[in-house]
Amino acid sequence: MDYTRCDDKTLITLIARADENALGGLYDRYSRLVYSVALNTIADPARAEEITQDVFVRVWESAKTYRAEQGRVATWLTSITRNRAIDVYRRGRVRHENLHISWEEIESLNSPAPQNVEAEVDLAQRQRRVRWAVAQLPEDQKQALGLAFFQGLSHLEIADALGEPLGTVKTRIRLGMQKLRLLLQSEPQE
Amino acid sequence: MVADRQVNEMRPDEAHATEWLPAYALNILTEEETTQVAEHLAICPACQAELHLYQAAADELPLALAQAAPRPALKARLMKEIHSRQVKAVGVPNLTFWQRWAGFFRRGAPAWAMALIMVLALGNFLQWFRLNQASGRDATPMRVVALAGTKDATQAIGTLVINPTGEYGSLVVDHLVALDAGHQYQVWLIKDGKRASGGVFSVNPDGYASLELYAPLPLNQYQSIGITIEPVGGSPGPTGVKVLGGDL
Repeated sequence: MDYTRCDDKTLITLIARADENALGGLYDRYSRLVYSVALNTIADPARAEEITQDVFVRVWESAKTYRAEQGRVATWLTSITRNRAIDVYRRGRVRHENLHISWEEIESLNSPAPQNVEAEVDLAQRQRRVRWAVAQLPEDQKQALGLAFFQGLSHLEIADALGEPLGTVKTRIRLGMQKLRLLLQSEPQE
Repeated sequence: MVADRQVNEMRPDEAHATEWLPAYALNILTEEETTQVAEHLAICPACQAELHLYQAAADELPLALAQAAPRPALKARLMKEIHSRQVKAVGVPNLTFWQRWAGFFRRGAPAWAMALIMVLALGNFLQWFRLNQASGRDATPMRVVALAGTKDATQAIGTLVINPTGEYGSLVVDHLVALDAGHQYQVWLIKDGKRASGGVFSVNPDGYASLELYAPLPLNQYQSIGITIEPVGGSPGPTGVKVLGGDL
């Protein structure tokens, strides 16, 4: 079977039937996304790899209980990853001095889409759209949102880390999320 | 500026919690703010709909990251572990005596492991106590707290071991129902009526889990502990059924 041709839901269904190769296919499709989320939280490649492995083992264990109406598979994976990574970050008291989030550079919205399968095309389109939206945000809003989402920092922790007033951080996050939401709902423009 | 207001400064005539929803979606409000927004959301469909849109936007943020790749060896490690789990799940025929003996412990692992952990914890305490007596130091023991199942989880059991300073705690639970992909168990530490999250976890197919707890304050400053069923990733405040609890 060519697992690259399967959509996400089919892969999950196969994994629920203990198809090891289907899990391998899901890993090939999403390991970079999962690893990137973990790495932006924990900033330790070895630990980020451990978290990535934990996430896919969790998928193997709980595929039977996944319901499509709960959300996209990619969102499910990143949610598991984020929560696991923030847990590890807090439990291990891992704290890194680098407050940089590795946002992808915006690429042309007219760049060619992958030709392989519908799932990859859909993912690539969503990635381009979100990257375009994030690129429209002021740098300070991007940074504050990134620290809040990927490292689970509170308003106060972000303010302390950046040396900024608490009210300023609250405003940046509120305005950043408001703008992000509106951009994702609108038609993208180059 | 409006954003500098606290949630509890919402005027009585304010119908919605709109300006706090973005931070609520990111789960970065204070405990008090989270509780107040959650109470408002419980009675406001309009704000629930707004929150859903902010959560959808937040869910897309990982797609904006620059994609880094793990080392190729990771896939091999993963597939080896998955295959090992699959072999265990299917079973191995014609077990030798020693394999059957080992299997007895695996089958009874959750209860057996719980008993072993209790014995080890007690042993560690006795050892620590003896060492501290010998050195003349103050012998403050580890605290061992038993958690009891509620009427919604009568079979569930749990044990929390807290180190003398309260800085670290290890929680072991057993006989909890394995939840669906949309839910997890969440630990709550309660002090003066306020609840702080101690983390989220899932149990294995046997209903067993162990985890280290991390809380804003030392664990020995809390008055009680509870575990509820929440949406995957946890909630800002308890929303689901309580399954385990105990006094600290």
